[in-house]
Amino acid sequence: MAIVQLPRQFKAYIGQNDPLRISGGKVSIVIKNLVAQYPVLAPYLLTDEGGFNSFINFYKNGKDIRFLSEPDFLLENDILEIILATAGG
Amino acid sequence: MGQINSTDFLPSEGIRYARHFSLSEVGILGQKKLKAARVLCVGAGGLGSPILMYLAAAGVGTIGILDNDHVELSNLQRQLLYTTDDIGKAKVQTAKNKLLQLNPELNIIAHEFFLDKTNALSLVQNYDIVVDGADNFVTRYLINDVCFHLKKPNVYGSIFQFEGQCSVFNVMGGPCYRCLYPAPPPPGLLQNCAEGGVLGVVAGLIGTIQATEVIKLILNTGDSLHGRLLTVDVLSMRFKEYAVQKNADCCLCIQKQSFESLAYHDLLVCPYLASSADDEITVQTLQDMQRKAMDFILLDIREPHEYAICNLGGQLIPFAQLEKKLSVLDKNKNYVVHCKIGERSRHTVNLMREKGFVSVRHLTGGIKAWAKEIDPTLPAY
Repeated sequence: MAIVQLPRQFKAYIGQNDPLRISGGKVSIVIKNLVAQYPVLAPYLLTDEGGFNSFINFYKNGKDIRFLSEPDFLLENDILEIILATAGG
Repeated sequence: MGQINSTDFLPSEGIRYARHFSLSEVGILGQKKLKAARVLCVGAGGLGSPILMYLAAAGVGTIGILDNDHVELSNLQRQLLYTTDDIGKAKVQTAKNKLLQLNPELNIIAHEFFLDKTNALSLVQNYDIVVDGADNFVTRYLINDVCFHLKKPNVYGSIFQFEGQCSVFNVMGGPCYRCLYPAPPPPGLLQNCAEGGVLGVVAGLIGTIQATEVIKLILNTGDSLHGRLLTVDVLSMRFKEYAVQKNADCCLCIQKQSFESLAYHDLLVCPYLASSADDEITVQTLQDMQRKAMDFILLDIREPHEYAICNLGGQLIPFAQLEKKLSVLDKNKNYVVHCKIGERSRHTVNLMREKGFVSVRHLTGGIKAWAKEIDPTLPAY
């Protein structure tokens, strides 16, 4: 299972402060499993069509999955970080 | 290093910048670059305060300050440019006065208005670098787009609760803000600092990093943050860095969309969250409904710690738990939903209607409006 690290805002929404362990393999499946487990995160992570929202970025072991040369497949203990656009100033 | 020429610096400036002259990366030449530089800071709030103070102290010759807000008591927890005596005063004029007290030799230009599509190009072209200390997504996308089209560096920073982000965009053909985040979230979906809060020092931390990046760009020294996103979580006190690349789908960098064709009203109005007068009630109407003991349920969707500060006696269901707990509510009852300022509650109206609730409205302006217009004794936060 991969380790999923959420923005602090999302941790508060699900009442879970520690990194999550989510199964799935491909990033898209991991996120779908995450949303199935915590439906409150759905509007933040996924579009109505099921794609990723464009104000959220996903980093596999520190690398933006949009620019990975290898498939976005998460192995055991791979870290998937979710970074959220914020506008506060 | 060279000698200080009396035509370049006043005798007092020689002393003022002595610590800079001692740095080989700055020196007399660098200080002259700083003096000749023109920097626009958009936003004179939490980020703007340290940005402006450090740029003024460093001797950046021309500093533009853009903001159209007035100082409020709730600003003072993080906006160090202002003091209690400044409450009610225009931020840009107050900031200008403070910066001139700090460094009287500077040219400080106050722009007392908000950035919009009609003024952005003509304003930004007068500056070398723009620093993004805005507090909303519309302004951040506008800053990015105008900087991209005018080929000006955009020194970005943003904060929320205990976290901050910063980067530098539009440098040496590098990525822009839209490469990192192609589009903003629908209005109201994410909490802002007014709703979710922010630890004051996070503004100081990120704003100081932004000021550092501006100075490095002017001096052309060090490794700029362009192509990198720096994030910090001050609770864990961990800084992280992520590579930012040009996005192959970027509407600016790749698709070369013109500035004129970009529409910002789309960022303000989202069909998902569109609300009409039927969706909203005013605080006066709510008070009237309570007086008449009308049959409705008041839902407070804030967090428990917000509820503890002040409440209107509503049923507390935090926004994040709403979806799970909606199943226990009667869909045929009348509901009035409120939060702090009316953003989360606006989102909730749509959510509840999608789930089949027949009568849901939200309180315009939230409990903050109630405290202002109905019950001034209610603790504001």
